[in-house]
Amino acid sequence: MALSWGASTAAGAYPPAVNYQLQCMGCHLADGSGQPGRVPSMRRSLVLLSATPEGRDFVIRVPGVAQSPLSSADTAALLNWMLKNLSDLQIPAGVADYSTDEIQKLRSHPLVRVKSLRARLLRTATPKPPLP
Amino acid sequence: MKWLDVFSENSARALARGTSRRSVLAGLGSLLLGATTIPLLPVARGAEVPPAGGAPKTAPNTDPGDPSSCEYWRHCAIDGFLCGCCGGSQSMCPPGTDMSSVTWIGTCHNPGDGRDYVISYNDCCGKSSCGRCFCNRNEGDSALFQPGQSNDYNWCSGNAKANIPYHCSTARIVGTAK
Amino acid sequence: MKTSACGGALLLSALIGGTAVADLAPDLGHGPMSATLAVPASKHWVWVNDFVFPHMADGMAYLIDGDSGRYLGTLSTGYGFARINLARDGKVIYSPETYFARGTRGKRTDVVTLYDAATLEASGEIAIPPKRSSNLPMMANSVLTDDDRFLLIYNFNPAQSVSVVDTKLRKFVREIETPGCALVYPTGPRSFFSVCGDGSLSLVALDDKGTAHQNRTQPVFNLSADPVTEKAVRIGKTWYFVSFAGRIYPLQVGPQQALPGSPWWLTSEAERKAGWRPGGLQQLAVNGAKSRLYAIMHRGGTETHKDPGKDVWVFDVSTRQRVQQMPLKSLSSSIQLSNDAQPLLYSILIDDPNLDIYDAASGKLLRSVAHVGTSPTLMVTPE
Repeated sequence: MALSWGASTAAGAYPPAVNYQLQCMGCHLADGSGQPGRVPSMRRSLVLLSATPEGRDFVIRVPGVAQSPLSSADTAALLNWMLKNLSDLQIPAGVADYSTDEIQKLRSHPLVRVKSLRARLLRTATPKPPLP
Repeated sequence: MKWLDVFSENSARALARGTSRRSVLAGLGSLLLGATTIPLLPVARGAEVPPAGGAPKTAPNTDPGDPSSCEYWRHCAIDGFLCGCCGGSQSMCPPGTDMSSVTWIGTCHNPGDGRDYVISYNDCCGKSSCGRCFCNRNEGDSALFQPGQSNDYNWCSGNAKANIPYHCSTARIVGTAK
Repeated sequence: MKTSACGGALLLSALIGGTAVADLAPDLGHGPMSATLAVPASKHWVWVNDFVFPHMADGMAYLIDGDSGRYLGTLSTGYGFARINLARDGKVIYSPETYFARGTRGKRTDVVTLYDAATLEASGEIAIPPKRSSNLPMMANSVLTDDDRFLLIYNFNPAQSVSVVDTKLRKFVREIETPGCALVYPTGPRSFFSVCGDGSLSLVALDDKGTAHQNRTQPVFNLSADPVTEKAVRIGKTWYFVSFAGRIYPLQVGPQQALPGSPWWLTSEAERKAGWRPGGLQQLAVNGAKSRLYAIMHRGGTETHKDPGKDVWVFDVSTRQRVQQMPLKSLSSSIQLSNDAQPLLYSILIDDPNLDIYDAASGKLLRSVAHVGTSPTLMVTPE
């Protein structure tokens, strides 16, 4: 009985806020601030990373996202919710929502290592002007 | 933390020193076999199937049951000692222990109001095992390969004070699962 | 007639036979004060690891002679103890351990303690990052590479990584990031894998300095449809994972690649309908020489995949047939086999520390050893 494991949510079973609680909050905490030295904070980095193709690639392929039991559509919706609700930075002009296709394409190649790539991407990322 | 339900002292299925473990576990096995024949609700792991008897018939109590009992509705996916028996409560750590912010999170069905709630099983840390009211329910649990669905980890690992001695487990309501 | 005690004794001895009986020799000043063990260990010795759940700062491991049932010695192994690792030359025992400055609080220190196999004394320690995973103990929490050169320890805090300890240089050499992947399974002289949350494997090969070459496979498990347990066992180059439902997934894994074999059931369809499934904590054991896989079985619903059982079923992994059924005297959550031609099967239940020892071939209960610990978990036997 596949349903009995409950690991895969039925498509659209929960809104993004609840999916965040069930899939992410356990480690990243309710406000996305994480635990210094153990779990990275997303409150600035998610916006910064989402503003470049390399950064978006990273966000989708980080194992917590790529390996999530959520469908690609639910994953996209969740990331977009997080951008709007868990960020200290405004979303810059021209930064598109994550799409189902974008997730689908990249999630089967989860990153083998994340720390140094994340550090490099954030070093070069600069906050862009926010949406008017 | 999770393993076999053998330390429970406060559960209807308690393994008191003198009882025959075999008969208790055989009974438990048949209980669970029965449960799998009931169609499962389309909710995420940890949802408890409402009992066949339905909601209590007296005036509605929206948080029914005994929080220091293993059968309490929020404990559908808990694994550890119940903090309510250790000087805390289902939402508060006992004196002198620190709540670990990192945890695993499930959903349980509340028979009192018919809703599914997101439950955060934060551990209380920093003292040796409480040792009272052990409760282990495995609904929807998975292996250590999927940490977000496993209660075999000592979730005191994420405690910022770096004290990971595990003391007891809470079952805190995050919100409704809808 | 009054006599002194001394006189009385002489009179008594005269009545007995006329010869004086000497006092027992004093123990003081004669012989060693601590017992020592033969090295290498007998193949029929077993280490029972214990994470002492009610008092987790007091981890323990116990050595039992499977042939005589005699209790041989103890290791005291700190907080949240998982398992010891036996060096293949039999001279040293490695034990990843955690300590707090004040027992259950204060600064945390993780070490690999080295114990001399003859004296069971701590002969040294190697500091490791204080993030060793604390979880329900698994054999895959720490393993030696197949040449014994590196000891690998799984970390979770909750970031996931592997600490690499060079046993020759006796120092920690590297922490390998393994995000999204858990535990460690050896695959060769200098390689191992972890299992990732999407059902793929993270393959790692180490060079002489412990530097890692890493890659990930495609998923080999569907963890949503048929989740597998952590409690895999190996024969030769093949790892056998079992799912909660009772399907075996054979995986031939090398340093650079994984070859899944076709899965097979431990149960017939009728047996599955009756609820038969594997369960327990250390639920599988193998006899490599005979290609035999042993599994603790019980009847229960889908949520009972960790429940103990009172039956061990034995399978030939090449024919995939069940060849033997061993009913046990008592419920078991852990089984292990000795690695020799006349194997013993050890069986213990986490809440009933009575170690039962069976002849693996006949299934006959040979002996039981009482009082083996508080929450015995995993059993380790010398190779």
